[in-house]
Amino acid sequence: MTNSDFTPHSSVSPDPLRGLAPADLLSVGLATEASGTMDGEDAPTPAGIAEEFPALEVLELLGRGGMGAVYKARQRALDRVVALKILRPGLDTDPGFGERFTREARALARLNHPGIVTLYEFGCTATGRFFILMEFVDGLNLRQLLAAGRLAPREALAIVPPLCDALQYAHDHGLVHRDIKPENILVDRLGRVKIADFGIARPVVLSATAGATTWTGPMLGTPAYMAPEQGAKPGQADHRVDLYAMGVVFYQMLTGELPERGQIVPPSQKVLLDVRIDAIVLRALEAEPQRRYGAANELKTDVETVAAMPQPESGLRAPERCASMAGGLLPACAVIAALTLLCGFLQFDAEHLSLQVASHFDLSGAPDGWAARSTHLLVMLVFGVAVPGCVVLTAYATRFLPSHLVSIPHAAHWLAPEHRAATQAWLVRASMWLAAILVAFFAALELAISLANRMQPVRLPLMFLAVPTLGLVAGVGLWIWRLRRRFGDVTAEPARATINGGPSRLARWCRPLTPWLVVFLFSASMMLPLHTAYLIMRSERVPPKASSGPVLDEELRGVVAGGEAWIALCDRGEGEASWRAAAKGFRAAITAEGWAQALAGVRVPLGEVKTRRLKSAQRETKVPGLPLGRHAILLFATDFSSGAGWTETLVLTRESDGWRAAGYWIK
Amino acid sequence: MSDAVFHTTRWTMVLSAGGEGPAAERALGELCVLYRESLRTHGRRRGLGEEDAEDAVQGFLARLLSGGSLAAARQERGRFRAFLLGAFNHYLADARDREKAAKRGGGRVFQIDTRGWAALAEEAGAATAPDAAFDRAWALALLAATLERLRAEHAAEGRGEWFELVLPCLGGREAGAPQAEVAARLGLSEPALRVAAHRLRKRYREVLRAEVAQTVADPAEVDAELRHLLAAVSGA
Repeated sequence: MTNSDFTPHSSVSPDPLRGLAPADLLSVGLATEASGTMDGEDAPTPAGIAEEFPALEVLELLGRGGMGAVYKARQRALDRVVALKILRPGLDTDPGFGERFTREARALARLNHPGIVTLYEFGCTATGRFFILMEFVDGLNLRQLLAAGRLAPREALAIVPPLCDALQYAHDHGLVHRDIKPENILVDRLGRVKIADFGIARPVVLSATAGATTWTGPMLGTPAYMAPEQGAKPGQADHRVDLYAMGVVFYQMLTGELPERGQIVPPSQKVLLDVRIDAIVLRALEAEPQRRYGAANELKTDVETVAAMPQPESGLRAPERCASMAGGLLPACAVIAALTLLCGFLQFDAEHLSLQVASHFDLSGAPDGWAARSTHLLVMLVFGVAVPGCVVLTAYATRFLPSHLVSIPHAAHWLAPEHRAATQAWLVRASMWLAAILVAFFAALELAISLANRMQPVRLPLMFLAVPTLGLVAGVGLWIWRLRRRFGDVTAEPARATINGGPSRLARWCRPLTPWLVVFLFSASMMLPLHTAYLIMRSERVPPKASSGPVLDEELRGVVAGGEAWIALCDRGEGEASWRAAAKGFRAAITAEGWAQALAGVRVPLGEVKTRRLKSAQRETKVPGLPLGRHAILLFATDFSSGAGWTETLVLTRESDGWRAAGYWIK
Repeated sequence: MSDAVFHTTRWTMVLSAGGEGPAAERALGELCVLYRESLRTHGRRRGLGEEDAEDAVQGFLARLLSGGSLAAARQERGRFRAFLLGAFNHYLADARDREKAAKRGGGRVFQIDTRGWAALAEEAGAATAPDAAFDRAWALALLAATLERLRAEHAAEGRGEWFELVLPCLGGREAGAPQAEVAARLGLSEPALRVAAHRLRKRYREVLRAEVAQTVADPAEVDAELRHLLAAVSGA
């Protein structure tokens, strides 16, 4: 159901339902609140008891329970709101009740603790009704809070310590509650926690006269919260029964369920939470009092330790986080697979493509742009990594953007606080799919270029380009369709369904792996391109030859070739030809005949060249004896037939029509 | 709250007074303003163009408020929603007849947009579709009115912002990070926020039920009416 019926008219105003589902809103109107301890018993109306309490203005009935009824009342003299509890008639038939009631009330009156509902007054009216006047806590009991669902572990961890404080305080004063349960734990408007019904409201049949068999009926509260020894050996029950009950309440807050009798399923198997909490809950729930916590303080310390050092947690709750991680595993694998493909092609091409790569083609498929192999491969690598990387980073960055900058359909709904985390996790996952598509596109493109360069002559058939392009268009189209489908329908909430369905097997499986998985996936996706870049760079180096000549650039190689050709003329004793091929300055300094004579006098006696190895070749602008200009000095280590170990120095100079010899020395 | 009392008795008052007298007219007028949007949606679903739907609603309300159609309602003593829909359908059918007559005799009352899908669907036999759409629109108007009243209540106490922040917790089942975020923004602990959400839910329930009560003749029908609307928005 969308509110599309409305939108044509109300599009100017913001969503009047603020993104809440109409069905949910109507259901809330139907639901009746859990009222805790209500049972069918009739309680007197406020007016019915007003006569008995002239000092009070009885305002309303707050609740009824097995032990009686609680009213909200105003104490006229002090003008303060109080809670009036009237005990069920008939309790006083127990002969010891009055005395015990008085004794416990006195003990409770000595307690003064912010975590314990304060007792103001107690007694028995003229008509024989026992009553207790106590602090009115403006809030809810834990049962009512739990009616809206289990608490987040974080909340439960916040509630337990103050309860432990209050219990410890009472225990220190010799008072055992004996009936800790959600109904007796109150949370006020400021979130402060208080224990109610301390000891006093129970006609506790602990006296020797009443055997264990009489422990039936509503007097006992709820058996689910009773420690085993409370039923079996009531005489020996001590303050540790309260700690057991605390364990039950804790378990219930975390899981929304009561612990099983016998073999208790650890809470972390029902909901995802810090496993250290399991140990605490299970220790509080030990059947043997000796193995339980000895004091409320110990329980509190353990809980606070866990709360103070939470396991690293992202903005999501554990199940949500795991769902998003498990959901993220598949796209992450797709990204890495595509990356492996791209890097594999690049590494292969680094070995097998020629040094000059046709990297651009015209419409007919003929190459019209060339690049050095390493340049081409590095460009492909950078694009193939940076573009998809930016896509994922952008999706991730949405969590830092204000909502109005994130443009998705029904943004008000999807970016509402309760949906935002799941939406963003989904966006990141979706962006990883898009990244995988883009990486795969670049891999296909590289394959096409590589194949084109292998053809004779080099040519890129239209087919080679069409396949990756169509694949990209189809992939991105599919991705956009999926995105629109996900955000177009505000009623679809797969993420929530997973969470409310409890920890799935997948989520449980991924939980311990999560941090390692993240580290592994991240390093894998970083190492692959880095390693590829390294291989590309390495392929550019000229492999060292046995004669390990100097590394030359293209121009110098040309110069050296020209120089060697000129020296070859000299080797052959062609004085005239070598003079004509020399530079202008050279020809000005010496005549052709003079040069031929010099060659015949110096070069010829040295004999045939046995080996000639280029020692160095470098450019110079200033060479002694020559005008400023572009020159190159080549040094050759040469062995002649007449002797070894000669150094030939050849100076070349750049003239308008090319490089020409400007000087030749043999030493 | 005197206002609440007034609200719960609006439709009852209209019914008992037979729509006569200034108070009953005012009550009916107020009810009609609230659910005017639903009528317009319904008109569109019945194949009227945007302007024609508006004209139809206006004409219908004018006739209704002049007291013409309330005799039937008094006999039915039913729910306001059912009455309004029935009367409006009647009015539209009437208008169509008049248009046919007018076509024969010249002049124009309404132009029926036969290209609209709703008209086609109706011809195909899905005659209930426009009614379900009306109920959905009605439910949305009801909820919008409820939330607006709740918001106004809070705004009057200077807690408008508080209301907007706590509202997402109304559903109750959310116990995750957003709740922690809301609590942090309000400077509350999470248990305190839960208490606040619980209270808001309680008050919301009261207001919603009061809003529904003013459209039914008998307060005992509130639950049935809510269930009916719930079925309508759930597409059942």
